[in-house]
Amino acid sequence: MLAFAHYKNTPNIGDLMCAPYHYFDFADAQSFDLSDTIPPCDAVIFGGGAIEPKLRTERIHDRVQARHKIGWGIGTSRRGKTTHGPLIDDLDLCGVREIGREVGVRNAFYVPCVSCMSPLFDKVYPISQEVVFYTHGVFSLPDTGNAPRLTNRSASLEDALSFIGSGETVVTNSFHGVYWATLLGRKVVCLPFSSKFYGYKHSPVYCTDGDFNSAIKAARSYPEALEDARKQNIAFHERVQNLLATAPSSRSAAPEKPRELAQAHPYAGIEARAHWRRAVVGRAPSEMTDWYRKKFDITQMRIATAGSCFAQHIGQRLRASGFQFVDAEPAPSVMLPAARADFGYGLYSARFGNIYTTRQLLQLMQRATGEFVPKERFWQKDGGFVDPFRPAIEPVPYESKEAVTAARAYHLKRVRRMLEGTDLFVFTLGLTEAWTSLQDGTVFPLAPGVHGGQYDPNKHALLNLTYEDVTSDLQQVIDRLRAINPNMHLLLTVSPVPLMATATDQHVVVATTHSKAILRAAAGHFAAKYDYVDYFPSFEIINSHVTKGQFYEDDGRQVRSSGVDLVMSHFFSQHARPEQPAGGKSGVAGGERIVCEEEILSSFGASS
Amino acid sequence: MKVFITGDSHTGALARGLRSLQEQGRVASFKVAPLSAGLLMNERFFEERDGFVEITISDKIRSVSRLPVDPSEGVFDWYGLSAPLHVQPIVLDRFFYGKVPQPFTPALLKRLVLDRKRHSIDLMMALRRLGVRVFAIEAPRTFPYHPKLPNDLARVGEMETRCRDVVFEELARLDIPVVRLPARALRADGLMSEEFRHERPTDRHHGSAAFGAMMIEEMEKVLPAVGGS
Repeated sequence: MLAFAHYKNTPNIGDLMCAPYHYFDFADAQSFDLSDTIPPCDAVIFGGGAIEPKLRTERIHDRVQARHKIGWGIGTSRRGKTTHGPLIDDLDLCGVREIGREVGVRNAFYVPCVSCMSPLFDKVYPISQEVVFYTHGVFSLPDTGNAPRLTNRSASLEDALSFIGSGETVVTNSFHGVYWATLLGRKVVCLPFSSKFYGYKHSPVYCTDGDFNSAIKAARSYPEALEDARKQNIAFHERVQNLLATAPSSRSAAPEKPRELAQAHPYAGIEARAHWRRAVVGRAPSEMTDWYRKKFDITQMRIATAGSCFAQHIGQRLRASGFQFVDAEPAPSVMLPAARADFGYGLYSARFGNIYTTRQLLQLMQRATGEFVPKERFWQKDGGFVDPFRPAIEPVPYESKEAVTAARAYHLKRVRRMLEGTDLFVFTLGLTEAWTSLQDGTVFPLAPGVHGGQYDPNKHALLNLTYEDVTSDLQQVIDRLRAINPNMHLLLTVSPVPLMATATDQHVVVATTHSKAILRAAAGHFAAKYDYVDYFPSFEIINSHVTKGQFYEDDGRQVRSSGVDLVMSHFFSQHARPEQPAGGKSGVAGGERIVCEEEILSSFGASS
Repeated sequence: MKVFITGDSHTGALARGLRSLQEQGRVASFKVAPLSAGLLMNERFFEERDGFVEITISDKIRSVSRLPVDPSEGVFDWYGLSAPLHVQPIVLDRFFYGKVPQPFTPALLKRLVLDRKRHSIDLMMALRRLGVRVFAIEAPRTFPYHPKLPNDLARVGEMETRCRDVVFEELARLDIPVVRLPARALRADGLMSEEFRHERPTDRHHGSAAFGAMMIEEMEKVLPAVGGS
């Protein structure tokens, strides 16, 4: 007798339909619930379902007298976890449904749930809904209005597949909901509540922040999934048949290996995102998920941004998305958007322009607090003067040194105010190359002579910051920020924009790599060092070779808007947009228009 | 000299002023018709057609659909536009006020003003390309009882002057004549004299019929000197 053991006394259609005897012919087969006493038999096949804990912890297979003990499509479910732990290794054959867990475990193979063998997956299900919700019977999905819903408790497999297949996108917190929707070629958004959702070969988009719309937008289908799942099961069926044809297991006679040594290697049970084949291979860049997981919640934080030019995108998207963006130097309200950018308004949290280097940021803070007063404070340009620390902040040079001084004094005062009113400081590291004054070490954002000033080799020199320089600067920045606000958090990014030019004797690509490597390492250093410092991988999302350069313009330097969109979609997948305050700010303008219309109507009559 | 006046809501005072002058039998050769509220002229509001300019504002109060007007409605020597010199939204922007007003450059002010006035100035240039003689009419300055008035009235007056100077300079560069407010319309601090406040107490923005009549009289003085009638 061949015994099949799985959850039989359950209304969960997934558990009911995940046993192999439904789909393959076996002689003398008999099915049991996991709680049943299984009589002595030739072989017992456990699965599928999340029954591995019953095997590993309760050792239910030890209670069965059988020549062969097999798992088929078994998995685990650790509530609130994203990792699985080591796989049981004392079965004669173990088919595990979470891909990657089989690696390094004897007799183990990846086998997705056998329900894929049902001919019901070969039927065509017309799509009639943009989105359907297929819910777990115990863990409910949030109420999202009128989208059709079905639970895994009340349907037959056919009913379930008809329902799932009716949606273009399926939102679900059911293991089989994700799996079946994927097999049907539907896009899937998964709301995970345990580790079991993190082992699919064809990953859904995970939604953990309630932002269904963004998740739905990012979801994709896997047309190859059904064929692939069936191949795995057919191959595993063959392995089972071969095993059943062999002599009795010698497992019990063999000397027992120390279990931990046999199971535990560092890569067993790693998440899909940690595994190159599962995270990268066969995926278009836009389909790669799980690049970033937030370290802390920023929803209630007042956020200031600074850095090299890529940081502008982050600030603008944060502001547009309703985060509490700090704007310490707001533009005149009547100023048009194009003009704002031309005058350095709204790009960052104050009008400091691009801050390319950590030394520039440190010196800005030192200048704002009066710790440091540079000797070189004016650059001449076109008959006027510019501020060497933000030479392009105005499209036309200032008329006098006094005008530069007044503007700078106001600006630095607002920088102080900005720092005092910030909970999260977002800084994008851009370059290591800087131009410095030989008199006092002042660092400028641009080389003297590029936009005002005059380059003098006796006064100015190239400074290429080392890793030690950058980490020292950043440490001082962090210390100052935390002194201002002990609860200050930081979010570091590295700009994916390469150097426009290098002043070293290196090829510009080599110099770029050198620079970015230092900055990336420094950012990683502080993200690892402090729990209040997070690193967001915009650099990798755009720059990694796996994205094949497709997010750069033809010059290979400027980032396309599609790249910015992708970067920010990953950001917002972790940092949900706050609720937008109701109402607009057009009241004043609207009121003026009403007054003016009244004047015209009263002076000319309604039809004049 | 026949003059057609159009533009923003300040044409209302000009129309009422014209009526009062006409009732006294003093003027007969002016016509006033509004385009729309000034806010709608901050964006492109016309298209150049063959031989005329089509006004594209879809506003129930618009009474002018093309400029110059169809000859059947009259032939005019001058077209006056009230719009380029209404700069109050800029003047009253909070950016310019505060305990310690923030410094700003002439370039910033010029950009602010001309960005908002670009389309009304463009309209005059389009008309001039059609051979139409155009001039600009100064709107009332801010009244001292405006609801959004900052405390520093001298600063408001100064900003009025600086903003209007930007437009004056631009119009002079383009050789477009301007009919300016006479000195008697202003207070010492540069705000509008209350003598010319609107007859309706709730309107703290527009001028009175007396203001309109005064500006019509200014036009009668200025325009002949500009081009001869």
